[in-house]
Amino acid sequence: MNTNSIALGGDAPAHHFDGSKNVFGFWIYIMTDCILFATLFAVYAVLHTHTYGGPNAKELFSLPFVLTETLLLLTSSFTYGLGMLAIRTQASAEALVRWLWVTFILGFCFIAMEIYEFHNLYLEGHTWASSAFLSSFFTLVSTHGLHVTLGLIWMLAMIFQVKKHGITPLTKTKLTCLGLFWHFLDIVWIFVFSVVYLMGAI
Amino acid sequence: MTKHETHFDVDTGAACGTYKTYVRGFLLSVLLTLMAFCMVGFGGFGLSKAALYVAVAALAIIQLFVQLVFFLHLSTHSKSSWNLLSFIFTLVMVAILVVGTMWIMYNLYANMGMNAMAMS
Amino acid sequence: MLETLIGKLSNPQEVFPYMYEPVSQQIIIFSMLAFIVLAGVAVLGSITYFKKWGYLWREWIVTVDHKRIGAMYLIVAFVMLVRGFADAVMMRVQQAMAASPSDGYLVPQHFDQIFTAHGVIMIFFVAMPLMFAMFNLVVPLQIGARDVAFPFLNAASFWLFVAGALLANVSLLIGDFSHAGWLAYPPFSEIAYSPTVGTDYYIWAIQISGIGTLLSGINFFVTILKMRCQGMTLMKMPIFTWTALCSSILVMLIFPVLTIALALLGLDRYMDMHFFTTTFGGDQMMYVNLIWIWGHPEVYVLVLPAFGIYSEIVATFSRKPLFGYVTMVWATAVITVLSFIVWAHHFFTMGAGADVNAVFGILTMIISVPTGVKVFNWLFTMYRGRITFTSPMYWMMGFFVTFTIGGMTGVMLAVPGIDFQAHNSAFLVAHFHNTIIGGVVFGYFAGLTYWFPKMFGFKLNERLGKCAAWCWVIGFFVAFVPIYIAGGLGLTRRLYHYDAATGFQPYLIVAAIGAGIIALGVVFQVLQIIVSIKNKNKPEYRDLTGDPWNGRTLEWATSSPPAFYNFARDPEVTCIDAFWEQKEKGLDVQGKPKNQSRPYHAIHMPKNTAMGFIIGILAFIFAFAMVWHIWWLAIVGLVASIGAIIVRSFNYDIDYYVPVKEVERIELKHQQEMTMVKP
Repeated sequence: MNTNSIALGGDAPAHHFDGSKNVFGFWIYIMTDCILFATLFAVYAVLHTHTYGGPNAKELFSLPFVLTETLLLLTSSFTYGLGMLAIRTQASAEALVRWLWVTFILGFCFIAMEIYEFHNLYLEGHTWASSAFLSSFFTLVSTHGLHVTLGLIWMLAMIFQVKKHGITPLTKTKLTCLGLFWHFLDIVWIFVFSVVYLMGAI
Repeated sequence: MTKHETHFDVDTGAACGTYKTYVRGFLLSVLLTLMAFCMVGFGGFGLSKAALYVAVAALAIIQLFVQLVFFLHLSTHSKSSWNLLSFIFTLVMVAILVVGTMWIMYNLYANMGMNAMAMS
Repeated sequence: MLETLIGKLSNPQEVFPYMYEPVSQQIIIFSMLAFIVLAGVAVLGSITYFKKWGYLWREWIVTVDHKRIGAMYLIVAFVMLVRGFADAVMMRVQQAMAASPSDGYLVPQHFDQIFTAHGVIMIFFVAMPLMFAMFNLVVPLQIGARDVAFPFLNAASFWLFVAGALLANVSLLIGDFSHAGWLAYPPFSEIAYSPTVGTDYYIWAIQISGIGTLLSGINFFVTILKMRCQGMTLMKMPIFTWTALCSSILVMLIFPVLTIALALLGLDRYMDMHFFTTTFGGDQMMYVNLIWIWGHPEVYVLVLPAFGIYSEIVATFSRKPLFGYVTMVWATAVITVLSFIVWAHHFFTMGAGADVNAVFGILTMIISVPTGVKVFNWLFTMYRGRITFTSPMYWMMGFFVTFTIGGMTGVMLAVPGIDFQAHNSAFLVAHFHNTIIGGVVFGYFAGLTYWFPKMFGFKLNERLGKCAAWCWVIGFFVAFVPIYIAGGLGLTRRLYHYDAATGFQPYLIVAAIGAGIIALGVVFQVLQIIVSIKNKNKPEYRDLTGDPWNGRTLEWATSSPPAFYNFARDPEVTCIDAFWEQKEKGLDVQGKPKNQSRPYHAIHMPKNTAMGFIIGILAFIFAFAMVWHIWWLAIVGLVASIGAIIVRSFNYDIDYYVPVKEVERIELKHQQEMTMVKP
């Protein structure tokens, strides 16, 4: 419980990197991100009826399209897990990088679909400036999308770091953090899917 | 996940999954997603609106825990007790935040005669 | 074309609004600008003259040492305190003068900016950095750690905070600041009613520094949970560390909400969205709700560590262990949770029903219970103690009287019926100054005096410190009792001018005199620092032992100022007041006999890096470009910030070992100094 890694390092002759503090710290950061999304959900929950005479959720969204997005992100979460597993079972950087690319492409498709959906809404004249409901919709969903985009950039950075340094305690720590981030974003999307799209269609 | 199954990485202190947990988590998540989708997408099977809301919310919350356990490897193991504790605390605070906000705002609308439609 | 290139900077009326104002206003602005320029030239000039730029860069700007970062927080906080205090004096003078037919000496748009800036600066750029200064300086030492959990992140947080503070102050020269009060309520803060860049300065200054604050919160939470020394269980932690932990928890809970509230306001302003506008279904009460979910716990973020400071001081200067340690910890924890569920008491009058108001009113009153527990604990600690009335204790005495009164007026305001009368009146203004000055400001001044020798190696002048405390306490009551009364008589807050027939003027003149007395206190504080620096090598100032007050906790077990690695050997503790016990038993920090000589080990430390500073600069550029709608520069700033973080993540060479010889050399020097003072 009282692991003071910097201090322990003083006694250890060989340098051993302990990433547990980083992973825990990142977990705590994710908790704060939970609060951030919860706030956006609360705003959406209050404002989703404020359509100002414009269309509501039921009239705007296509469920099969969003289901595809959901399954893409869910699969990417799974493939990321398989990548992490490859570290442990095969200790193979190549297998890991392969899974990271698969995950990246799935995540990229998700973002592309989201942009396509937003673009269509925009062309139909339903923009973030149309009503409080659409403001809160675009903000909530694109905040998630922004997180996914940052996750993709991070994933690219990790692919290069793994290629350069291989699987070391430090890269493993970073990959674990990215994994927490990625799975977390999947969970947030489940709530976006349920609250915004499914409940909107009821 | 039971205690003896949990494996912790030596370098990161993070709990790791196995092939089995990932596959299980993935299949369960897909199943739950499809269930929720079908309930709403195919006309609600004669359920009332309120029942559908509850069902969709319940399925989402179940999936939250499925992914927490199978993907994020959150367990009651003593090594991850701070993770678990901080998560539960966050969950409580999120509930206070969301429910409190909705209560205050809907109460305001009801009390001031500004029902939601008046804003539309 | 020009607009694409420099955005709103192409409009001189926006950039230099004061050029279009009466001469009387220009005199004020230009004399202030002249002062800033002269002070700036003096500082930069002397750095150049004494050839200190290299030193500044190597020892301070690139540092990741928590003690250095703490000291820098302190310096910025003090500069900002002077700025915020100048705002306060200007407001008091305006209100004292502005009974009709006089309009006072300020134009309304200046008065609005001044009260907004005063609130923003005092909370975000004085109180918060004072708090983080204390966290940085004290927490790692109290728990026997070498640094915080994430030293680089700590530096980045600090520079983000500086970027935010700088942005708020750039608005003095370029453009204007927000007119919309310290929380920028819409719809007034919306683009339709506040079209100038002032509100954008406000939004970005707080967003940038807010990110830094959130990261610091995470940093200290992990530090305290994961880096305590051997034997220090949670219930053996010094009480200040406990309050730092609870305060960090609150920071992590509430700052995301602030980020969202301001982001949504920004989206309304920048992207034509309709969260809080008066039309298109927007609802400004949603903003009020969100901002207070942040705003109420925020005051507890600030005051909990101050309570921790009082607890440390009262135990040290009463020569007794803190009375009721366990109840103190629980009271802190209860306040932490309760503070998160009372926010609606800030808008009882918005129109929600009696059930909402009753629930939040009652929850608010309940907070006074754990707070009362704390006050009694402090009193019982002093009871039958051998009290020495040093200047930290003076601040504490001032706190007892002031804060208790402030707390009681708070309970009054928690009654919705009373709040309907007092809402937005000067009574409220007097109440929160009563708690914040009495609780937070006095607390950090006490802590500063108490830990100053630990940071810099010499004590502050006691006599001048006591004079300052007297001036602040007396000045406070002279300033705010009349404001309570005038508020009760119907004086609303933020009033620019009023009819002489209201009879407010005598009260406001007295209040202005009170502000003058507080100003005298500030003068004494500045003198105190100057005199102490001048005499720092005299024996009555110099602290060679590292333990000038006969302290009880681990931070006093090392030299003053501590070596960059804090402790040559990792401390081990067995009880709450660990250092006290070790002194009594003649043991060293590891609980071993003192004369036993054992070898040192090489010490693992983080490497310095300029990346925190660079990220701060890039964030500033981004935010400044956003304020002035210079889109290309904003994109450059944002991409560069993200790029800097990626570059940093590719750097795997972030730590090193301090060789044993170096540790031996530093420790020997400290031991020699200690024998010099021992009789």
